[in-house]
Amino acid sequence: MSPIIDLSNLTKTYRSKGKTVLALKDVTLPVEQGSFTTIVGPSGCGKSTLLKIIAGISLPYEGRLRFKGKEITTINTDVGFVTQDSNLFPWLTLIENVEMALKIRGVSKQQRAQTAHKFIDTMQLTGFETHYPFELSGGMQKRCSIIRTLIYDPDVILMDEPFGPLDAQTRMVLQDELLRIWDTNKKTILFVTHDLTEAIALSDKVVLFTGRPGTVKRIFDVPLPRPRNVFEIHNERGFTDLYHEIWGYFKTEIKV
Amino acid sequence: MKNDLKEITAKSSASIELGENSLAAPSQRNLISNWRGFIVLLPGLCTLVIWEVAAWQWPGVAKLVSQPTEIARGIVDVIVTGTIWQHLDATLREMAAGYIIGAITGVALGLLCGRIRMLGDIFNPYITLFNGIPKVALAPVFVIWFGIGLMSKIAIILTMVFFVVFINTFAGLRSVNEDYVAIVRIMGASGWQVVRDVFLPATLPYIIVGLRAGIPFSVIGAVVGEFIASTKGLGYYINYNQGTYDTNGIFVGVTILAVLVVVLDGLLSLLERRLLKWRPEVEAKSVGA
Repeated sequence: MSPIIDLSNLTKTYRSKGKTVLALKDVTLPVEQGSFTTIVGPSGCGKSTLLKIIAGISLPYEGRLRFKGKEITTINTDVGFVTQDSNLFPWLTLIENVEMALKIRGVSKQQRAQTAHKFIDTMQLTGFETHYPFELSGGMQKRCSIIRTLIYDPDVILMDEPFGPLDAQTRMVLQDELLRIWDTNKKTILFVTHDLTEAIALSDKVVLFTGRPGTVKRIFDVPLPRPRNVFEIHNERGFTDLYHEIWGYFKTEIKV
Repeated sequence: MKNDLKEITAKSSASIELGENSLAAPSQRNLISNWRGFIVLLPGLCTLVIWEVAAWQWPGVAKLVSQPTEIARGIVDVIVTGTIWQHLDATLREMAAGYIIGAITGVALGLLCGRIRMLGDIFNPYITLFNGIPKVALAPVFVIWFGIGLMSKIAIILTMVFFVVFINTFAGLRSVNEDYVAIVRIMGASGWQVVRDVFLPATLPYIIVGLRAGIPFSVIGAVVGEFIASTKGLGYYINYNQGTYDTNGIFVGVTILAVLVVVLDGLLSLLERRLLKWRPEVEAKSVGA
């Protein structure tokens, strides 16, 4: 089966203050349908830019990029994008935020509410439907921003350091919830993070990027069995070895 | 655990908002909230009392600034005899027409220039330039162009309200979080849906600031227009009383204008609270901190 996202020799330049900046250089990365792939790399290596290119909001690019076999020339509405900040619409209640994509896609009011309640239940947000984002905790906002993406059933979910701003405990709880959801619907997830533990705990493959201009340094398979326990991932057989192996390559990219 | 804690804090701040039993220093907070109305009124009441006593003590003062009881009597008088209605009616008509046209064009053009980058780049320098001109200075020109009737006042008010609404709408649009736009575009939103679901609601707080700021401008515009040339209106009424050295009459007119602004601003702030209920209350925040 051909990969759902097929990148080869993808290069991205942009102009900033009259200078041409090379953000990504010759990125070659196949992403298989239903896989959980994580990109790690030093900050400023173009990880987020790559997600934006795949979402069609940072065009044009050079090289080859096929999404479900087609070239991306405009906004890609077959993906869902979860940003680092929750970016909930502050003027909408929790349930209205969750329903937004369905409203845009012309789903009837009744159907919308029904689907939204189902997702709100899976994330234990029941009872907060009519709360506005400012009344929700950071973790609840993040849960809401994940289900407002899941609700329209995109083929691929792009996640740009989604758990970055959260505290350590909330972070693990959400990683666990994300894995549970992924186990049941097997969506393709492309996940960007700077946290190596998070990358190993979640994914099938860890893709290590070099510093700017970003390119794939090495791809590591994560052979840890599923379902995984993110809370005790350190005790998992093989975790430490893999961590040290990846870190060995990672640290040469960071100027300490 | 952490969420529970957040919920508790959210609830407690909500109860602060309602003035119910809150966690920290309840006695002090209750004292302030119970006496709040009185504390706010106190300086105003003191001024009125001093004014009244001074005018009563020294007749010269009353000649210059009248006195509160006389002004009150004057207001009752113009209402009972009905002499004020034609003036109030004229001013309100001018304000309504000028304000509504100015607000609508301000929002519409602000949205266009804020969203179509090229339009904004071309027209923004001109808008800034014209905004620098004191609009009241244009009032005499409008009287020459549109005569001494309703039209010239509408033109003055419209110009003043337009700029303040335009500039706020424009600033609001330019500050919309681009992530919101990207998110709804990826969800499949059309150009119109982006406007309806992101640009309008995100800009609304700014538009409302512009609309509230426009209220006193519309009163100023009406009064200035009526000062220059008119046969009725509250500005005319004030100007007429100045001609007859009736200080009390002037203060009657000024008081009615002040009440008008307060009432209209109050109506808009009600609208604001209804439309912007998604924002944390500033008051609750500062009290809770």
